[in-house]
Amino acid sequence: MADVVLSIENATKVYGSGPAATEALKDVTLQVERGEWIAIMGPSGHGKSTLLQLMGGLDRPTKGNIYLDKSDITRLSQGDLARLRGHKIGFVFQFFNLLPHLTALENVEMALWLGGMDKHLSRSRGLHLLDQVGLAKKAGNFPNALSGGQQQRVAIARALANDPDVLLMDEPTGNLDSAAEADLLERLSMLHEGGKTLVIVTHNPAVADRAQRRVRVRDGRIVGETNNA
Amino acid sequence: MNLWKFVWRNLIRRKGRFAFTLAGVAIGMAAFVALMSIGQGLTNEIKRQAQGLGANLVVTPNGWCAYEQISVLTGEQLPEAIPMSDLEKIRSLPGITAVPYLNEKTAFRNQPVPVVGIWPEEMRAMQKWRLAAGRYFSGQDEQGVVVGFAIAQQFKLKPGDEFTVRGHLMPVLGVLQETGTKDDIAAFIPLQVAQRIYGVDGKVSFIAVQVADLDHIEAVSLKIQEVANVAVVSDKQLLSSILSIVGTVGAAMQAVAAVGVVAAAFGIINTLLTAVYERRREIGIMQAIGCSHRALFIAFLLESSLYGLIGGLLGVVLGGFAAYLLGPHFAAQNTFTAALRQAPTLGLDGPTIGYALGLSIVLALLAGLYPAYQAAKLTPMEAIHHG
Repeated sequence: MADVVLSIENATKVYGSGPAATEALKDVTLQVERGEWIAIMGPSGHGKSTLLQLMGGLDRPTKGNIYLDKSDITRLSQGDLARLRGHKIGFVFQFFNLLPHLTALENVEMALWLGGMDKHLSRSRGLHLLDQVGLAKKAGNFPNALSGGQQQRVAIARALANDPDVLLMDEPTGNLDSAAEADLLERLSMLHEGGKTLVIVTHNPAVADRAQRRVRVRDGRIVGETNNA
Repeated sequence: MNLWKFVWRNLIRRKGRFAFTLAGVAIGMAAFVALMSIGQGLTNEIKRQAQGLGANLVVTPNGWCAYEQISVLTGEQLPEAIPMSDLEKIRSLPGITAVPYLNEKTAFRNQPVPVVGIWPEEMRAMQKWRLAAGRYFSGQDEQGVVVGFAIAQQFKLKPGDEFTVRGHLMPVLGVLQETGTKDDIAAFIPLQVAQRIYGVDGKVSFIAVQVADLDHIEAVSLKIQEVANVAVVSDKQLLSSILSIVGTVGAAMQAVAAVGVVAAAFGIINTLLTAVYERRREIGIMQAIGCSHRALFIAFLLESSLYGLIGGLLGVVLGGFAAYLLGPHFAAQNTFTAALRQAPTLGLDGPTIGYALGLSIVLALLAGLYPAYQAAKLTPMEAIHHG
């Protein structure tokens, strides 16, 4: 039987209330196996990002359940949910989302600190992570002194900080040029080969082509799945 | 990376705003500390003068107000109101030494100088005066002055120089050694001479009484009021009634200064609320990578408390310095304290500094509560989707 790491069961998300209420997700069920690479595709505004955010515990479904490693994260307190995000999930967003007043290394160290790592250990671990994304020499640079591709790599190093099982990415190539995009895809492949579970929301066919499975979302529902050969 | 480093980086990232907010706290605290320290300096000075009085009881006319009472300590001019006959009755009581004071004023080289009429020998015994130069009075009726140390310095007087008391020329007989009390800034003449010059025959301003047995102060005080129609206060009562007035004035001034500190606290609230708004997106990222609401709350509280700590420290330094420079000037403008010694004195002590810093930090923490709450209540989605 497949090892399911992340499972969404009948999740519905409604924003607002009364006549202004909008259903962003409607009764969605999706299972993600450990080590799988999934691309979530679909038009803008149809619920892809909402789905990703529910998976990562950034938001709670209005109805339905979400299981990470078989435990229901919709029942967790705010504090436990924050801890879970810090340890088991790595986020990468479209807009690189580094903290602008911290250096590349400090941005990574921040995640390590929030994960509870000792200050001295976090320095060497942070440098190691930056080295893995080829940015050891830029460790002391502030984000505004890094290119878009470099910032995205720092964000990936940060997402990997506490060795999470699952990486959730929202349009990670959205603001990259083609060279940086190719470089990022290579790194994602390496992560996948290393056993990480990747769930990527994307419009980019090149990214989707690398995934094992494509999930199509439209009007808040999953309308189709394709397995890549 | 740790919490303090993170908070510090946040604090100084908008340098202008940091500096202006900090300046608000520092200026508010400086005003508060300066007034507190000036008040403290005055209190210390008054206590010192009270110790220098050398008497346990002060006999005054009935119905003297606090202003007149403080003049006992400062050596200011006083109405002459106790008849010599009362003095004699009091002196006849057993177990006490009583010496009269006639506090008047003269102008010397166009400067006001307190002139005190005394009984030379009794006074010297009570005050344990020593001479820095010249000689002391040789009799109860000698036409001459003995001047305090500060007066001698101010007018460059030495024995043999001439001094005028209400137009009467008199030789300077001697100069007293420095006492650190009001005696330094007065000129002394024998009581009989003073009564003649000022035309107040048979009257004195007040009487200082030393009681041999301290256990009988109460009894002696009652006895004095039996034999003469006078009021009696102990040196401690005198001190506490004067301190209560100075304290009330000081507390009122501090309350005004505290308004400045509170206004600065609102400056902190403003700055931090702006910061919460500006950093919404970052707050969301922090939450996404595992930062709890509690940690965010604490981070903002620490940021505001740093305003309190740094602003408080700057305020203590600035305020202490201002008090040192301006204290004597303020004291000179105040009728209650004008005659006290007006050298720069540092009234700041450990407890005062601790109190000021504590106030600053507590206020800053209170100011940080609302912005910290605003930051902590953001959900990751609200924060990330902002802007």
